[in-house]
Amino acid sequence: MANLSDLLPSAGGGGLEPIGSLLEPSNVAAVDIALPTGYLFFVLYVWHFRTNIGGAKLAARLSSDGGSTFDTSDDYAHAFSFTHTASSTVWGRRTASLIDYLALSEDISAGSPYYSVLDDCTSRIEIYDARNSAARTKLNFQSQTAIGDPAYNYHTAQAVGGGRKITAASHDYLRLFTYQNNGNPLIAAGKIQLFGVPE
Amino acid sequence: MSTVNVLKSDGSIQAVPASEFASQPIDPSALAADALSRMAQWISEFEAKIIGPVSPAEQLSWAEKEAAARAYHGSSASAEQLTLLQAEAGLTGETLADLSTKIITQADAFRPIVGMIAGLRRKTEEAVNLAATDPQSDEATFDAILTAAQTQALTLAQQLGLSV
Repeated sequence: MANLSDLLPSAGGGGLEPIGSLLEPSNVAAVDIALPTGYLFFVLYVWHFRTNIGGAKLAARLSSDGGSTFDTSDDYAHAFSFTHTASSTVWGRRTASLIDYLALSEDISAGSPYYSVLDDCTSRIEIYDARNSAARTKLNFQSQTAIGDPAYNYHTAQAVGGGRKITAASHDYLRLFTYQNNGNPLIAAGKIQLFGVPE
Repeated sequence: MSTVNVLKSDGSIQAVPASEFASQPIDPSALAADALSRMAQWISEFEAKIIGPVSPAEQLSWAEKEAAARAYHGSSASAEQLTLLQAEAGLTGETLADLSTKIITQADAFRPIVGMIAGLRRKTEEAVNLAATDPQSDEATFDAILTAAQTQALTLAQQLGLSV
């Protein structure tokens, strides 16, 4: 029987390799992640992610000037699907729009009873063509998070979607931040690690 | 100028203007429209599960058939009503009495279901429209309204002996 390591592509040979250190934000407004050159694409993993205000949303923006500024105009094409399963209830939400950020999840928990059924957020975010100045940077994401409904003991909520910049540019930073329409949540806790597939 | 801290990927903390993280305005009326659309879709699917595969044209005839059946049982059916009942009974092989009884039984069972769905639709619309006037409402607010309506619908359906 083959060892698991034999079945996985080795780092540097097309496999994912960690970039930078594991980040553990604590009560910060955002996490700015450098996207270095030399990679075909990136995968950003987020887990045990929690905010200081329940019901917050996770979002991303891109920078092309080393993280000094982040694009905030309606320069992102974006689609978002949200599926909630609880007992026999299933529904989905689909939105597509031009927007000034890329939404990645919603209903992130602060650990309060109302939102804490799944009590934190995990997300896998794929980032393509970030450093290709001739291409539009694209993001795909799949997020698992809490849902603001106290009626059920067991349920899941999944957000999937993606988006891209309208214009082609090389992007060297990605900002993860949270937002809410009735407050500015902080990222209270979590773990974030960027991986990349080398060219 | 107030600032907030941002964690950089090299592990450092950088202070940036808090204005960069101003709350994203969400229009509750747009969320309400989305919620009403989802509610309409869910109710249609819910009705379909209860009613089964019946064409809209046949549904339109139900009131007329019920009136004919009740008139037959009251011995007051008109010639047109007898023709309506005979047309169906002639195909199914039922007697007019059996067919009329079946129609009345089904109509009596269906009436509370229709009332329940109409009541739920109105109650949910009112809750959604009320939430649309609250600037604090967000996606979770409308999701909670729909979840409550769906839970109530399923509970009421079970109370009526329906399997959905």
